[in-house]
Amino acid sequence: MPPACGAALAAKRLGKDSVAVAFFGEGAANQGTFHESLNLAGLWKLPVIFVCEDNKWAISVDKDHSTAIPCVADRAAAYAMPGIAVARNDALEVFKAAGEAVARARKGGGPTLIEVKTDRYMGHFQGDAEVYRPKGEVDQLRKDDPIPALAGVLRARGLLDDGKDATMHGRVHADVSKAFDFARQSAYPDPREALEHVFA
Amino acid sequence: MTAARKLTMAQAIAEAIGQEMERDSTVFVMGEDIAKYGGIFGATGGLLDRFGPERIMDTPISESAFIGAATGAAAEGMRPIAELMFADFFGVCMDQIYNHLAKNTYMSGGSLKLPVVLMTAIGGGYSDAAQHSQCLYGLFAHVPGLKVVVPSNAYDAKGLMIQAIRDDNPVMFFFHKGIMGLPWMAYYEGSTTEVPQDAYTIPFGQARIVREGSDVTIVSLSQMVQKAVLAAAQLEADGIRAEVIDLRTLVPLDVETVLRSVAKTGRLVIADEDYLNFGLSGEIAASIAEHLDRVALKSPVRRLGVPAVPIPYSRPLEQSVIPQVQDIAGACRSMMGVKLARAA
Ligand SMILES: Cc1ncc(C[n+]2csc(CCOP(=O)(O)OP(=O)(O)O)c2C)c(N)n1
Ligand SMILES: [Mg+2]
Repeated sequence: MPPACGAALAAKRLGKDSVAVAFFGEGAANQGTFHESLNLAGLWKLPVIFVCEDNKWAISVDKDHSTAIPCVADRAAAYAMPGIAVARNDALEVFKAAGEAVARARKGGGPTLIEVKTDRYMGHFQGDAEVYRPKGEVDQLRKDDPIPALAGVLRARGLLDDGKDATMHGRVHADVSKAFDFARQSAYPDPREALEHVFA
Repeated sequence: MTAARKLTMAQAIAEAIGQEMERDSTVFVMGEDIAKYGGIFGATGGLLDRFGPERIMDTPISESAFIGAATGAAAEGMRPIAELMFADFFGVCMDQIYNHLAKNTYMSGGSLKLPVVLMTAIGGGYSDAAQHSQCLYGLFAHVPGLKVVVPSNAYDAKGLMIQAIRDDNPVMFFFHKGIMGLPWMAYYEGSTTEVPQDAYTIPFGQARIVREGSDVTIVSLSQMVQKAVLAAAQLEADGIRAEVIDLRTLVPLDVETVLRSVAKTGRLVIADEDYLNFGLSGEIAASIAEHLDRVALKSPVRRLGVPAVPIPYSRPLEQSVIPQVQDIAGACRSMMGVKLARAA
């Protein structure tokens, strides 16, 4: 979040219309830098958007055991900026809130805190057996997967059909398998490269 | 004492904490993922079920707040143990550690006791990249007011942890991830040892001679001890007898054991996984230089450590910057038959 404040400050000083966006989890929102950055951005009216992805879990610690209030967006009030809580897994609402925040930042209206509720489907890291997580939680959550839900909305509005869907899937699959092939076929780097790029 | 059984270092640490919590109701643990998860590296495994959430407390990701709270709770008569998940994360909470925890006893003219144990995971070797692989104990040993403990095996970890909890001062306890004996990470098996059931302590400031030898002294600590032992076995095949020393604690530092060994062997290799520059290896080399009236070197001192680069992610790059068994053995071999320059 602090570098996003800096990027926003630079945009302002350099006369660009860029807007900085910082993404972080609901767990990370309990770092001191969260509060320091919100205050700085509110004070200096920086063109920055803070997006908190609330998936309820920070590794094994759920939000009820980490955060004194249920809604992180409510904290915006303490730092002179709007705090928008977006309904869970609603991509269109995210789009709308983000659009308004960008427009506000570009008009000199300063920062916005957006809280997006979503879900975590996997363990936090490779080897995380998720012993702390209620059995079956993920199966329930997957029913509200925002990706097929958004596809449904797009189909209903006539923006997506089977052909377009297949083309898009094919393209993404091809890109990903190309990346896999590249990684598998590439040689490991020369150990001497470890000493490069410490300084610019 | 009751029978010993083999424990991993993680199990030994959790057992030490559990036994002290049973003995002393003021001992409690705070940290991220230490309760339900049992610590990302297992240092508090099983303790939540035994002691409940008031004494085994998961915290928000707010290291400044809960490590600072450990200082305050200690001042009021408790004996907190706080876990900083990775030593690499100290940056967000260093003011609480080195300006408050480490200095308040001194600044109160000795009237304040701060019996806090701050334990944290260190070390690389498993591709966790630059922000999750550092050792950094040298940095904390540099600052006055913190005792620094760096065990290499389960037996030592239990005794040193109990000693740390009973100490009336802030103690930083660094466990290397690659010797915790975790089922999901490769580790050096020498770190899983027999551990007595009963509580016992190991005094700080007493290095251990892991293996005796007369040709070269290898000073090491933490996971590097396990590598040094493997290197010594290789060297034995070449007829080189290496003495391996495990420092066990950096503050206080047992210079005497190192001096006595180097006085015997005349050759010193320091095998360290912390950064090479301005750290532990330089400290040990300096103590030898300061005692050349007692020690006659047969070869210049050799230091192995991480060069001044962040730990890279890619395996061959990481392996090249962290000293390996063959690097230690190679350094020892290269010292044999070396001639020193003579003063005119
Ligand atoms: C200062 C610091 N403390 C702790 C960690 C370890 N850590 C990494 S991710 C994580 C949980 C993050 O949870 P959240 O912010 O909710 O993000 P999510 O993974 O759920 O997207 C923790 C504790 C860290 N990287 N840095
Ligand atoms: Mg989260």
